[in-house]
Amino acid sequence: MILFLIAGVAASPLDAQVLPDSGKPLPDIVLFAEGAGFIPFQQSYRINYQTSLAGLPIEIATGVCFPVNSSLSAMCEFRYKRRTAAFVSDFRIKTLEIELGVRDYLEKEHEKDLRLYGSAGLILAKSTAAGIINATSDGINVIPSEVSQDYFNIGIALGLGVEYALTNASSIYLGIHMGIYFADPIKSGGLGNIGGLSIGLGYRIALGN
Amino acid sequence: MKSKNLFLNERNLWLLAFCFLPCFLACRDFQTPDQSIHIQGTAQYSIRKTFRIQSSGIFPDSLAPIYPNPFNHNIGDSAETINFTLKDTGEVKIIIQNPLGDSVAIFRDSVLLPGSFTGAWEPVSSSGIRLRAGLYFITIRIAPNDPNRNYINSRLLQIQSND
Repeated sequence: MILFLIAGVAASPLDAQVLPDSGKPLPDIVLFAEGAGFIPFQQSYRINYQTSLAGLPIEIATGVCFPVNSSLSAMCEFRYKRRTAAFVSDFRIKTLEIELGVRDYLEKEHEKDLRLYGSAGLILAKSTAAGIINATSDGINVIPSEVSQDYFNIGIALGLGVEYALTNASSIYLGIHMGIYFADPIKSGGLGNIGGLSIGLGYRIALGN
Repeated sequence: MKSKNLFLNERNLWLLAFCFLPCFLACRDFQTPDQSIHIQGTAQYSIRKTFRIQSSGIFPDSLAPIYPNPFNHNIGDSAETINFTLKDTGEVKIIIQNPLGDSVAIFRDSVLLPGSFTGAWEPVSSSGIRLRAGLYFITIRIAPNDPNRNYINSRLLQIQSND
């Protein structure tokens, strides 16, 4: 990301042409999809687990934005990750996050230039941990049994990134998404803060108008 | 007509880079998985030696399936039974961990003689909080300071109800 930002300096001439906002119709909705790498904040989640989705170390996100004006959009995002335990076999945690928030361009649009954006939102997460227990009531008659357990959490999310317009209706973006959770404490048996940094590359397409 | 980009300039991008640099460094993984078990706090549990064999080497270091599993307080389960054996005298530590590997309860180090042991543990955390329904790892570490022995094993426990 740092290299990208440095590269962004070179790729973003300070005298780029500002495009006028007036007269440009707002799209009805903007769809986006993203693939990202995930770095958990919690040490145990970072060391003991690895992201694995169809064999790839990525999480995926998709969502929709509803433009309010030329800069601001209301946003609904779904983010899914699957992490497998490194210290025991056949154990994994799948997490689906729903983020409701806003996305805002932090600068005006410039011709053939990167455009900085930020986002903020509330995230609700459902994590499902699943593994195999030795089911037994007496310690003698043991039956391997697949079990799963749901964990729910609430947090906040912040995002920052740069976007590059490909056409009038589509763009690609590179962004950092940060999630912080606080509603499922470890001391009572919860998962704690399962959030982290997601560094992703995505595609946006505007529909309507 | 040209206008200056006020936000996306070199100074601000460098500021951004330096803001995120500490985050990346903090998230770098410099530790091996064996160091990942967080050990803190204590919890009380009872341990009872069922029988003892004087000669070492009769038993291996082992952790038997814990029971009842799943644990359900609503049907009368009151405590988990943890059976383990030691092949030789050694330190024993039993850790209850959440699915991520964070300890929610830990039993004090005990130096035990070789033999077979039974522990009973009521599912509460180190701070005395009754553990909620969920999945937990019961991990035993035997002789953690002896590189030639250093036995570690985990069993997955499901608590269906603990109210």
